[in-house]
Amino acid sequence: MILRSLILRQFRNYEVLEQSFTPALTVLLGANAQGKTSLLEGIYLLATGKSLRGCPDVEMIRWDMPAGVVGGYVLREKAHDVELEVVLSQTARKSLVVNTVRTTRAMEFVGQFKVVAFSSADLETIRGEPSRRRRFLDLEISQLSPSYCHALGCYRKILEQRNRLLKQPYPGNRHPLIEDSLGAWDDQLRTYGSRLIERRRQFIQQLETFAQPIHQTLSGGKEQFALSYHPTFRLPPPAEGEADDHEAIGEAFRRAQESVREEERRRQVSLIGPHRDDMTLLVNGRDVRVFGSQGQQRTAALSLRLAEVALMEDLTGEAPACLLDDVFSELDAGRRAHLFDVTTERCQTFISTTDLTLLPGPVRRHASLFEVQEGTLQPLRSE
Amino acid sequence: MHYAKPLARLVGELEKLPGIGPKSAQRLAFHLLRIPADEARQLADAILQVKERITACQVCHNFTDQPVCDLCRDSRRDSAVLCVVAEPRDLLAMERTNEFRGRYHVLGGVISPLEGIGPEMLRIRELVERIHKDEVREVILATNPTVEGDTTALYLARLIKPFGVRVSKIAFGLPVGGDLDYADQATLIQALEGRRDL
Repeated sequence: MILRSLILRQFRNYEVLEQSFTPALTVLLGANAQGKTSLLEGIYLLATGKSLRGCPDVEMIRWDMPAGVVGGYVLREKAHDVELEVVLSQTARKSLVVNTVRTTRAMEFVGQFKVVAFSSADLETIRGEPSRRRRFLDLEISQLSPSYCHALGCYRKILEQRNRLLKQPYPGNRHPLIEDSLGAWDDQLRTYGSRLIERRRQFIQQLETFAQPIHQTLSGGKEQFALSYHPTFRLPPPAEGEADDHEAIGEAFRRAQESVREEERRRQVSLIGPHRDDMTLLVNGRDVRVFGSQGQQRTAALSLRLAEVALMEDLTGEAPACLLDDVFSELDAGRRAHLFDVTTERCQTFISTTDLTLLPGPVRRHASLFEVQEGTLQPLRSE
Repeated sequence: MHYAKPLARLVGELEKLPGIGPKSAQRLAFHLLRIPADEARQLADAILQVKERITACQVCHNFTDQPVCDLCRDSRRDSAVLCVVAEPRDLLAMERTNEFRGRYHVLGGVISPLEGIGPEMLRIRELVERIHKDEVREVILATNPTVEGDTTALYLARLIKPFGVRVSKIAFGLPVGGDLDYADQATLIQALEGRRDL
C-alpha cells in the first residue's frame, strides 16, 4: 500500500500541508517539537481512525481551531485506490470519509489503508499495564478484520451498559415476572466477547508464527520467543481445522460468568470478558515483562512489530506502510540495519529522526529527505 | 436578531422542535406570517387536538383517539400472535407491509441502563398480562437491531419462553432488491450469520 499524497489542515502544528510521497522511503529530519511525529500521526489516523499517541481526538486539532482535517490518497494493489479523510471537530464526533462518502461506522474506514507503526512507546506495550497490550491487539486486529472492529464497538457499548446496571440496581416496583435484566446483558456480553476472544487467540497464534524466526535472527539465535494469551477464564482447546470455536468458548464464558455473579454484584463491575484479557511475551520461556532486561524488552517489541508487517502481508497479499517514529537511537547497529532491511525492502516507509547519521549510508542516498520545521516541510537534497 | 415580540416567540417555539435550527425556524415563522389566518388557525387547532385527543391505546399502547385503537378492535386480526415493537412509529412501519395480521404491543422504549431505563419502565407487565389473557401462541420481537434493541429482545425472550409461547425475532439482513456491492459491512456480516439452508 502506498500513501501517494497527504493533506493536513489545522492538524497539530500544521496549518496547511499538501505533500506527495514516493513509494519507497521518506525521511523526516528535524529538531524536537517541529512536527515530525505529528505528520506520522496524521498517516496513522488515516489507517486506524485513532491517534498514534493514544490521545483524544480533539487534542490533534491545531490550537484554538474549531476543526482539523487529515486526508490521503492511497494506492492499493489488491483493491481500488482509495481516498480517505478524517475530520476532527471540537464540537461534533469525528467523521470518517471513504471516497467522499461519510461513514458512521469505524469498521468501514479502519483497515482501508494498513499501517504498522514502530515507536518508542512500543516498549510500553511490552512492559506496561495489560490495557496497553489489549489496545495493541484491538488496533491491529481491527485493521485486519472489519467484523472484529464491529464486534469491539458493540462489546464496549454492552460493557458500559452492563457496568451501569451493576452500579444502579433498579429501584422498587418489581413484578414477580420482571426479574433482573442482567441476564440479557450477560448473553450480549458473551456473544460479542466470545467473538473477540476467538479472534484474539487466532491473531496471537498467527503473530507468534511470524515473530519466532524474526526474534531468532534479531537475538543472534540466542533467544526463543513465544506469545501466550490470557483470557479471564480457561479456554477450551482450539477446534481442529476449519471448525468453529465459537460455541465452546461461549460455554466456558457462561460458566465463568456464573462463578463470579455474586462478586460482580458486590464489586459492581464486570469481571469476566476480553476487557480484562492479557497477553504474555515469553523469551526463553520467561515472561519478558517481569524477567526481561531492557534490551530483551526492546528486541521483543521490535519482533512483535516486524511480525505484524509479515502477518499483514501474508493475510492481505499486500505490504502495509511502515512508520518508524524516532526508534533508532534506542537500537544497536545490527538491529537498526535489520529493521531498515525488512521495512524499506517491501514497504513504503516513513522515518522520523533528529539525526541523519543514525541511518545507514545506502538508505540516506535513496531516501527522499525532508526537513521538518514548525509545521512545514522543506525538501533536502539526498547525499 | 431583532424580531417583533410575537414573532420572536414563534421563532423560539419552532426552534424547540427536533431538526429545526434557527434558520429553519425563521423561515417557517415568516411562512406562517404570510399564510391566511384560517390556515394558521387550522394548524394551531391540529396541534391542540393532537394534544387533547391522542392517548395510548389501553391494550397495545399505540397512539389512538379512542380508549382502544382500531387495530385492537379489528376482530379479523389474530389475537394469538403478538408483534412487540419499541415505539408507535415501528408499529406503523410494520403495518405498512400489509402482511402482518396479528396484533401489536408497544413497549415505549428499550432497556438502556445508561439512560436509566430498566424493564420496569417499559410496558412489559402489560405484555405478560396480555399473553395470559389472550392465550397468545406466538410473540414476534421486532425491536431495532441495536445493542439496546437486541438486549431488550433477549430479555423478553428469557421472560416469555417459560410460558410455553413461541418466541421469534424478525430477521436482519440485506435490503430486498439491493446490491450486495452497496450493502454496508455490518449488515453483510449479520446477513452472513443469519444465512439459511436452501
